[in-house]
Amino acid sequence: MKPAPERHLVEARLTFDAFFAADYRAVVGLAAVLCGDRAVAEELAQEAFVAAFRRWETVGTYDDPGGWVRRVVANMATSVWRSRLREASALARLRSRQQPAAELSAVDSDFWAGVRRLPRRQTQCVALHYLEDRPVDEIAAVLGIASSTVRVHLHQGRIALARMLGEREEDDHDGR
Amino acid sequence: MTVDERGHAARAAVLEELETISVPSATSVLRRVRARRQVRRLVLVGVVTAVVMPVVVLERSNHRVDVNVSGTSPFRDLPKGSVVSGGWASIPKGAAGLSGTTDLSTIASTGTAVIVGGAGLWRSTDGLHWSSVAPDALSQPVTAIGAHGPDIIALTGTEGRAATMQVLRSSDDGKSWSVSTTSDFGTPAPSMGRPGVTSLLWSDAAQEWVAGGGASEGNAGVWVSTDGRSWHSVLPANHAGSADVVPDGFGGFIAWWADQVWTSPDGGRTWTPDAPSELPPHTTLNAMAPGGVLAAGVDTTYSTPTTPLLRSADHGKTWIEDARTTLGLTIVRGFSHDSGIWAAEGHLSSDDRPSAWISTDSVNWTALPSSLKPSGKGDLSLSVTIGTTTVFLSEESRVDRFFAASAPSAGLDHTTACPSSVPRRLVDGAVPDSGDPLPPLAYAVTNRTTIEQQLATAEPELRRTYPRATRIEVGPGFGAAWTGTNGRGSSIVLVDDYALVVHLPDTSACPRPPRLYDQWHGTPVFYVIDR
Repeated sequence: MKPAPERHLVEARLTFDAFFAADYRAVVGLAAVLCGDRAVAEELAQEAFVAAFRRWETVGTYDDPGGWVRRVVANMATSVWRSRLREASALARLRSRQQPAAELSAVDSDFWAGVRRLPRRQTQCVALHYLEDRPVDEIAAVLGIASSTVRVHLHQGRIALARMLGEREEDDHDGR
Repeated sequence: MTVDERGHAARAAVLEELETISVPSATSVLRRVRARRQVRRLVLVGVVTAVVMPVVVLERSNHRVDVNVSGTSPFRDLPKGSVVSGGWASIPKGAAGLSGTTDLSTIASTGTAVIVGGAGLWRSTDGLHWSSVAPDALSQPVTAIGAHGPDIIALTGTEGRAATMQVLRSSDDGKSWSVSTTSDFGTPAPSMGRPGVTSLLWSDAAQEWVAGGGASEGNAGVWVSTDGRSWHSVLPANHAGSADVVPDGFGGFIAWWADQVWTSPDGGRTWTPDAPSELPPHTTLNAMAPGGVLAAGVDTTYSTPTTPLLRSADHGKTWIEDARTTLGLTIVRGFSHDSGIWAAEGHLSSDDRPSAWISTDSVNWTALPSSLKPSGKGDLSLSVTIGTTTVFLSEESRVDRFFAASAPSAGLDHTTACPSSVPRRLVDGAVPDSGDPLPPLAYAVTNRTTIEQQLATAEPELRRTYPRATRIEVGPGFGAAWTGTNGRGSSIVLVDDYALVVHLPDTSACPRPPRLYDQWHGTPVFYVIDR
């Protein structure tokens, strides 16, 4: 029989594995709409999951460990990581030519391109709102900011998007 | 259409495409991220190179100050500031001629000299005193060095968006170097540290250089070259991030990455498709020793503080944890095996301090004394043996000392060391492996239809080869290749489809993989030479 500490590790590992398998695609999706590139998004998502794993004793006890990972991804994707990994985008395009793989062309749409042109916090709030269909309170929890702040960012983001896309903004979205 | 409607449509499109993404295993992601961080370090080394190189040139050997070490120290004329304990020494890099705070990446031995590369290039003939041999034209970090007699080749990493890598060549045992460039490794992807060659070996079988590492398109890469100047890729596309290459002891090579292994029995020309290794649960490969018979695993949870030592008898396809052998609470980063001495290096997981071990049988290890370890954290990942001195270095600039072990003074008799692998010789060739410090332990048997005839022909040679053998048996093997003892006075060699067992009266305790000998023991023996 394995000693208790190892059993504990195995159990923790299985829990993390399940969490990883369940949330991987969604986190890649969030990273993709934030950075606009599938390969870079996968790198960001993987880095975020590794960060979660290294703190799994703590993160694993959270009500929403996925929220923690999303915060890490959101911050990475809209920070210096974006510029640092820009070259990896070119690499990813090269790789996609050599090794056909599932692309995320949908993140290249005008809508997501517009989202990425928003200021950092607006980008994060709008992406979490539209991609993950999260209510304001959840977005606030994920990003660690006040709900009122999220409402402001969402409102301003929608206005800016409406101008960029030539569409009209719609009222009363933020109260969910 | 409203912004919301556009947003919902955009969401639906993304979600639909996300379904097409395959979800990797958490294990592979952990390994991949770890490897990415390692290759990014190489890029950082490049930046350091440009700053440090002029200083390095000025420091050539100027810090060498010899001191006498009293007592029973096996080391003479150690650089100033060295500390000795038993058969081990801790030596300041700066005083030894290595720039004290320089990043190092790779090491190789010609047999008469050791070359270390990184943010510069250094040479030593004793492993204790170094001098810079970096040519003025070197402008990139050296990431791989390979030696073939006095001929040495070193490859650099790419620098920024430079489209070329530098190729350094020496034909005088590393004393002088010429520099050329090549773009054959692919379009640079500096943000991923690609292309990045980390292994460089000479293939006697193919008469070519073999380089392994990470290709620019993100996959593992193996390239070959006859002259070091022009290279072409030989490893098929795969899903690994990089490939480290070790000789298999038969003239071929094993490339590995995490839990994947490729083999090239023809000396690097062709490679098997990538295939997962069979490993203990939650374990991937962290370091593989030359010969492909010994490896260090790593717990993929990154939490278990011990490194399982693994043994393989089938060119890395299957690895079995050797419960008899432990290096304590350690993470092993690398192995070497020269002149009959096994070396392992890494750090203690208990306090992140560097550690190193030497052994003559890869079972019983002697560790770097605690009193010689620096107080700070760090990792050792480079080792080489020249003469009877094994040198351990860190890739990290924060570790400003390196370590040396003298096998005899550390209590090890390397003259009775176990061979790293089975020499590949046909029975009908009956040519002893004269390069091994021991009498050859095996002849590969490759043709069942003529086996007995071959053995009859080879019997006189076998008797001469094993003058002390009390019995030599040949029986069916397991498609494996390995040599060692059963711990009861017999050497067993499993070669391809046949096994050759040499019973010796007092064979040293060479390692054996669990199970294999026991599987073989008792199976019908179809050829016996009794004394």
